[in-house]
Amino acid sequence: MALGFAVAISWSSLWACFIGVTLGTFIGVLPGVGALAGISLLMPLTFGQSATDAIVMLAGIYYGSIYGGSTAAILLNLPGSVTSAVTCFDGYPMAQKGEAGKALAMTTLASFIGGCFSIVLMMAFAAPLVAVAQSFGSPEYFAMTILGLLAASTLSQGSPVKGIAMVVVGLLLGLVGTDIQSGVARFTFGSRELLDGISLVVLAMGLFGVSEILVNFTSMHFATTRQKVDTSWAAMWPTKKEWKSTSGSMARGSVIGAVIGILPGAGAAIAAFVAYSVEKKVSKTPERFGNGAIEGLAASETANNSAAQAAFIPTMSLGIPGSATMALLLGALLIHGVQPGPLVISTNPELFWGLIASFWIGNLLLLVLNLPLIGIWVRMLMIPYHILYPCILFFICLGAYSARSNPVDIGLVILFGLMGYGMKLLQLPAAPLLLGLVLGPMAEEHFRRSLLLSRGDVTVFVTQPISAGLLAVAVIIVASTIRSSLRKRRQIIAAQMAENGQI
Amino acid sequence: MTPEEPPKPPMLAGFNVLELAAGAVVVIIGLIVSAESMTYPMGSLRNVGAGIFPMLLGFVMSALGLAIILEGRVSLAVAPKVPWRAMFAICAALGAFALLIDRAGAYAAIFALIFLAGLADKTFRPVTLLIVALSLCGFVTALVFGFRGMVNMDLLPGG
Repeated sequence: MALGFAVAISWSSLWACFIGVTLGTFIGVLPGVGALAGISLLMPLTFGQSATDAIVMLAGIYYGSIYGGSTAAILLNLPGSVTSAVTCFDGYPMAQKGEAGKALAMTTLASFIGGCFSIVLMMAFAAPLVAVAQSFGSPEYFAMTILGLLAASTLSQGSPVKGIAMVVVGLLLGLVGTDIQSGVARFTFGSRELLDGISLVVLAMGLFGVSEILVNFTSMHFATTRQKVDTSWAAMWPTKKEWKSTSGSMARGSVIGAVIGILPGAGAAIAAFVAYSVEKKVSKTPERFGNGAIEGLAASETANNSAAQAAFIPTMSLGIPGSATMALLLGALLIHGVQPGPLVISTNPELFWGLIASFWIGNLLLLVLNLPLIGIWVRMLMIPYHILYPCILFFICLGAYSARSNPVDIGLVILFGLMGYGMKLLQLPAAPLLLGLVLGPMAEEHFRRSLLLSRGDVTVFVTQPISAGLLAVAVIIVASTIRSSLRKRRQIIAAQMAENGQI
Repeated sequence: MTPEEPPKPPMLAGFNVLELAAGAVVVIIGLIVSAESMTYPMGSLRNVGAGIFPMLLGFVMSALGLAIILEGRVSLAVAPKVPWRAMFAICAALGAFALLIDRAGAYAAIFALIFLAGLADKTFRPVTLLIVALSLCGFVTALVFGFRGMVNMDLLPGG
């Protein structure tokens, strides 16, 4: 840990962290630009940096954006990102009551506390998880990748079948290019540009950047009124009574957030939602929830930040990202030549501990920066979209082009943008696709290596106890989602029959 | 009709058209992938070739596509209105940037990008777009001169 702080306090890392959280908050505040689009847009920025600085910055963008999303939610009832949808429930009513300053301060404090809880957890968990993971062979890794992908795609919203289908599409896209083992060019259809494979940045920019703009043209809600915010210290700092009533909520929020954050697929948005409903159940005055209950705000904010940090645990120690955002971060590490997984702690200790130390610093920076900067964020919220989207398009072009100085990459961005929009129309989720893309090459390599080591024995995946256990869990997840979707279908059919009967 | 009432989903022989399309696309891509994979070396189980993994994935994908079609029978999904104007304008803007960046330099590319992108909006705002374009040109200039090596692009044609 001392090493971590030594790394994180170096000027370059501090700078990276500062830039990261500031840009992240900025992105989170901007309506219509989510964390995913933001990270993919800003990823090329980090290519010139060292791997440690790059990941520190990207992580800062990620948790900064979650924080920024809450600001937009409180002031305008517009969640800047999905994670802060729950923040609207009580944050906006508080702002309407003239307590916007207090709500924002509470958000900052709660975020800080939630974040810190998970950082401690990550420090405690890292070593034992790595010990487990080091006993893993190729079959275990293959099984774990499958489990991670299935869990992440079925637990998220929408149809689980579509989620899994998109993971498979992602896995296939990950295979495009020259096969590392045999040198065969796969799915390149004669194109030289594709021999290196599909660039993660290009795919993410198209899938999340361009298609998000198109979606915003379909349905967009904009801020028209400016909320007055009293940013004096006295109005913002919670009273003793409020501290007392929220300390329990924050504790519960931290734990709920951490547990959900570690699970693949669930993520910060669900964590916030669960924490909020738990708080409502626990409360003696549940009717206050939704009308500006500070406990609700505190619980959901601690939970979403706690979950955001906890999501790093499986990503960094096992190399299995639980969400599309984590997959992007993992992809960024791969671009920098760092293979995330149990070996990272021993081969790149400065990166691992530096990242953890940077979480403390980043969260502290958010706390220090944001209380005085709230006034600026409020003004940012008012940037009209007709100025914003041409700028976003420009940054997409700049990022896609500058990676390889190849205009063809911009063409690919257009292609993936249209594909992303088409997928939105058909309600096919894009996030699992990204997970698949990042994990595709790894899954295939472990699949092949397992068979090579077992001399062509396919049963190797079920005769090894750990691998068998992981696959069994995967089967259970799939079976239970099929069951619940069948049940839902029966209910819908029954409802339709009843309706028809009435007519 | 009350505005809250959702529009009726288009149906085709008991299937929701939207879900049918989603499933069909997935099935077709899966089949194409499997067929293409079979042209790659298969190897053996002991030494898995380049074709096996994608072929398996292709099969899984086609099966999932069928599942989507079946699942979609009770779906109430309705396609939102497609903003064709915005779509064409944005693709044209990005395409123009791609075509111009190497031939005519960054300034020309930015102007083309911003003004074509501006067509996506229902009201065309030439003055705002001009200001945006000029400030982005300034930004790029600073980037190219300030961070030499990080961003490599010509600002002017043949520069």
